[in-house]
Amino acid sequence: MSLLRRRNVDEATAAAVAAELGAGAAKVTVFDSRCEDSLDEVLSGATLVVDIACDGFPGPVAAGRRALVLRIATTAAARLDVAESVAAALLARWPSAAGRRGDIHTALQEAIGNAVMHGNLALDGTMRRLRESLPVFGATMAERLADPVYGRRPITITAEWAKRRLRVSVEDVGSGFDPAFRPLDCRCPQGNGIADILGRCQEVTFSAGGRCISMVFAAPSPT
Amino acid sequence: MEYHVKDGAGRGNVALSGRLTFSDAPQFSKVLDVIVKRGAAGCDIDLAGLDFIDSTGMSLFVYVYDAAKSEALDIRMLNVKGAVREALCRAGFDTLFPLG
Repeated sequence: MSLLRRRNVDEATAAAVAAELGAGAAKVTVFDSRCEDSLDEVLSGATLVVDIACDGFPGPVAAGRRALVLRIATTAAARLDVAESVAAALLARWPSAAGRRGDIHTALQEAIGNAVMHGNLALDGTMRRLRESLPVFGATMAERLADPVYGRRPITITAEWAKRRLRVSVEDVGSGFDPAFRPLDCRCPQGNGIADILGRCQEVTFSAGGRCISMVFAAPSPT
Repeated sequence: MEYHVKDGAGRGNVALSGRLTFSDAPQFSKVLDVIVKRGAAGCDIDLAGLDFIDSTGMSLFVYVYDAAKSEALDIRMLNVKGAVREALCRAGFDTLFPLG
C-alpha cells in the first residue's frame, strides 16, 4: 500500500485510517477537507481517498486497480466543487469517457446535492415548494451545515470502470427515500435532479433504502 | 454564487456569477427578494458570469417565474450561454422565460 497524507494530517491518524481500510496494494490519500480549497490534487493518483473531517472510518474497502473511492464530509461536499474534481479525476483514469464528461459531471453534481441536502442534512424537500417556506429551508440548511452532528456525516463516492463502462455510486448516511417519487414537472422546485440523472445515464439503480444511487455511463462508440 | 445589483434607467438589473448550485440554497430567499423588489418596471437577470447551474440552482428561477406571474413583473434573462444555456433548455426553462 502507498499512503499519502495531506496537510494537517498527522502520521498516526493516516496510519489508523489505512489500517481500517485494509487497503492492500491500493494508493491511499488521507486528507482534511477543512484545509483544502479543491480536491484536484487530493484525488491525483490515488485509489482510496479519505477525509478525516468526517465521522467513522469506512471499514475495509475492496478497490480494484480500476477504481476510485472518495469519502468526504458533508460540509466539504457543500463547499467544494466535488463533482468537477471527481469527474476530472475519472476522465484522467478512463480516457474512453472524454465524450461523456458533461453527463458524468452533471449526474454527479445532482447525486451529491441530493446526498447532502436530503440525505445527510435530512432537509425536508417539501419546504422548497413554496416561496413562503424558502427562508426556513435556507436557514435550516445553513444551521445544519454548521452543526458537526450533520456536517461530519460522510458521503462516499465509488467509481469503477471497465473498457467501455463506468459505474459511479454516491452514498449518504441519511434515512433514505422512495425513488418512485420523482416529480418531472420542470416547474416544481424539487425533483428535477433525479430526472436529469436518468436522462444522462445508461442505467440508474438505488440501494440501501435509497441512500445509495448507482449510475452507469457507457463510453461513446468509437468513430 | 455571487450577485450584483446594477439598476439601470427604469429597470432593475441583477447579475449572477460563479456557480449556482445546491450550496447556494441558503441565500435563495434573499436573492429572490432582491430580484422581485427591483421595481414595477421589471428586472433583467444577467447570467453572463454564470459558469454552471444544477437543478437546485434552476429552482431559483422557478420562484422568480412564480413571483413574476403573481406580481405582474417583467423579468428578462440575459446573456444565457454555454453550459448554463444548455442546462436550462434541457430542463425546459426556455418555456418559462425567453433566454436572451
